[in-house]
Amino acid sequence: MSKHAAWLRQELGHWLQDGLIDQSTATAIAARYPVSSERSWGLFILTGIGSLIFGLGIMLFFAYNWAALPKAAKLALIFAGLLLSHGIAWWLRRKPAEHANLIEGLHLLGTMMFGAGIWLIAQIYHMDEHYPTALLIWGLGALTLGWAIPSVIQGLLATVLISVWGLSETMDFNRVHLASIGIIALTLLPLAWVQRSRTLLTVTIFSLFGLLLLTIGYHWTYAILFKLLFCSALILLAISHWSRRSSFPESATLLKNIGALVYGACLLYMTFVSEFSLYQLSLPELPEGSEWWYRLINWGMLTTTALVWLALVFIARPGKHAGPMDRTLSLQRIAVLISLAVLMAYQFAETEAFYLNLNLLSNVVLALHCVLLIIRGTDTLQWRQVTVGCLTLCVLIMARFDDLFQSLLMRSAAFLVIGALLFYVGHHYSKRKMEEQAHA
Amino acid sequence: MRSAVIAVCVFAQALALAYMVYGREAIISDGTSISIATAPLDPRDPFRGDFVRLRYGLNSLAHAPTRWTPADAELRKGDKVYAVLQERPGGLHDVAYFTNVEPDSATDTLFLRGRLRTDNPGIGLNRVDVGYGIEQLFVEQGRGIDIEERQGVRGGLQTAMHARVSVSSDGTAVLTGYDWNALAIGIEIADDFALNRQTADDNEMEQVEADSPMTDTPESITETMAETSAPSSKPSAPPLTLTISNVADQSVTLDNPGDDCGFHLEPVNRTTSRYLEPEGICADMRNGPVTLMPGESLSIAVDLALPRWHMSLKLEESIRTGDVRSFRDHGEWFRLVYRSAEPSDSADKDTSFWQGELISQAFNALGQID
Repeated sequence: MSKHAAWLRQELGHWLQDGLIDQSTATAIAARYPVSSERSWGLFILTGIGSLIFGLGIMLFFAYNWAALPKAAKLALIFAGLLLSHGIAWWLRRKPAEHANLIEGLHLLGTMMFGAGIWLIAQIYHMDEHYPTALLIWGLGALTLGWAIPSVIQGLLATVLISVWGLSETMDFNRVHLASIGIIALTLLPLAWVQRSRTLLTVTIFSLFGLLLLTIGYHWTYAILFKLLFCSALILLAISHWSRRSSFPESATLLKNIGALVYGACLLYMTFVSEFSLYQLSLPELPEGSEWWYRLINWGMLTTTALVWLALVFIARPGKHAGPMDRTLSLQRIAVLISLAVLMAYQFAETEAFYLNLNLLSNVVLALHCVLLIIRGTDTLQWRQVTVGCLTLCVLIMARFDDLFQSLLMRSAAFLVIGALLFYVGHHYSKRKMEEQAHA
Repeated sequence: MRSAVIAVCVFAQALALAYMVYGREAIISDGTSISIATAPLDPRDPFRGDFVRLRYGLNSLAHAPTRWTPADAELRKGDKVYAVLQERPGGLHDVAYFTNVEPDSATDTLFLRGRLRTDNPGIGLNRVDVGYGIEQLFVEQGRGIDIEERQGVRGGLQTAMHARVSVSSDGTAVLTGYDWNALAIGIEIADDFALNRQTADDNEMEQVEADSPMTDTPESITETMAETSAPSSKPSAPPLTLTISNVADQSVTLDNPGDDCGFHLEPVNRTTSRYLEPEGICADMRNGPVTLMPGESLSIAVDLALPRWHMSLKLEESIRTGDVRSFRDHGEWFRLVYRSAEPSDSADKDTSFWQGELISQAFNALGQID
């Protein structure tokens, strides 16, 4: 339960006692703010991590590998551990609901025992096989239980194991590995959605990002990595807009935060001038024979993202009665489209002057985003937006210290303007807050 | 319904483990049991405790001829490779040849199925080009060091470990245990092992070496080098001393005819090396029994300058023979080997001799020991 929901429920009790509201009103208010079904961090720490550590302890216990312990006894212990953990959890499922945490913890312990069993059987038979396969089998065990129970913790364990499987195949065995990406995208991401779990959603999104970038960069080319990152961030931001009206509205903030973080970092990167950044932003000379594929994927990503954002700008355009917040939001979407157009234009950058103009435009777009964030944050009294806007503006002006302004006079002017702006923002925000409090 | 689905998932987990156990137990009970010589190293696995990493000769593609199909096949990391086995004197098995086509199991050909662990299999010491899944021996914590101590250290006496392996008809191998060789072998390199004397010819040779690989060495220079590079004064100790020690509980008899002809100098990479033992060395030797009581050692002075220990180097159009140190080929590694008679030859030989192979550590022309 979130702290806001807990506070509301506590207050509802007091309001009922004081006669401010009746029971039906209290029930209606409580229903309007449903308690998230996501498990609390307490569960993760006490049950999840506890089970993980307990499972690791059992693995290390067996790892001593007593010579005096017969093979049959070792195998019996492995199977007994697995079946007992799951068996007790299965039996407790028939009991009242207060054992939910214990059931989840025991199932997790059982899956840890399954993983321990794989490694310990390999130990007993001195197996020296392709080790990532063990991670896959273990991960599939957690994945199937994640859906069967259903369980976020099993899903998290499965995501970690499948990701490490993909990493091992890519890094250790030098293989293009799309299977791990496919399994996470098609089975674990839906599990996060069905379970309404922001934690699992976060972990799966970062795993997908990591595996995708690693696979493409390691085996194919680094040239489209930046654009893939940029486009993925914009797609996440677009999805966050529509997910507000979905059955999992809590995902919107999460998707928006991840998308905005990656997009902001990409945009900041576009403001730097270097040969490396030009290589990342444009489409460099490609290996003969595969040029067509590179171009197709490069332009496919950019065009799809542009179409999605054009649709978003068109559908979510502010109406006649739109407030200032809607207008700044709309302007920000247009700024996003401009940044996308700049990135597309980089594909045709052949002269230095053209490249520098695009670079200048990137600086302007990032500064515009900062200003819009500050304005919207001040209007709606959201200090986080104001802080992010101000800090990003400071980072931008620091970054340009060397490579944009040639004269001390220009540097001085830039710092004076930004300093004055920050003073004004601080003053304006405080004034707005006092007005709001007086109005309330 | 949900409970039933959970039960199925749990059952699947148990079934996966049971399948792993069944697969290995089936090979142990129905497979062919063989022994392969190996050298252990002792690392540690965080989750599985102590294990001894085993290195077999058949891990290296340079250890035996290859028969690829097609002949110019370019194998990649992860590709299957089959090591067709043959029994060696003493009952140990070694690889006869490598192939990338699965041998017909109906012909009773014993083979191991492995996978390439590198994209660039090549020549060199301690390479693991092919893995067979039998390269790790898990032991109780602390026992790994014991095994390493019994195996011996570089430059000292070393006892070979023989891995017991069960092999299924499809080449899958399961490591089931190990035994120790009855004899330990060690080499000692003298301080003045390397030939350091600089001559005008040597200087000219170095110039040629800098310009071209060894194979392109002009014939005249090579001849001069081989003939003149022997030490001018005899060293105080032999450049190399070979020691054999009986570490078993019973006496052991080796067949070592005169001139220590029971032992041979040979290159490590027998299939690819251009070095070979000169013809006529130790020809038509009669048996020379040498019995070692438990704990007793045999020490042999190996003077590489003597023709008995010379090696021949195959060049493009000729063969040159001389002291291995004089070839200045520091990339080539040699070892001293004792091999009991082949089973087919044993009819006219005394079969009471110890059966098996003794292989020393490798050394090169600089006197470095592997």
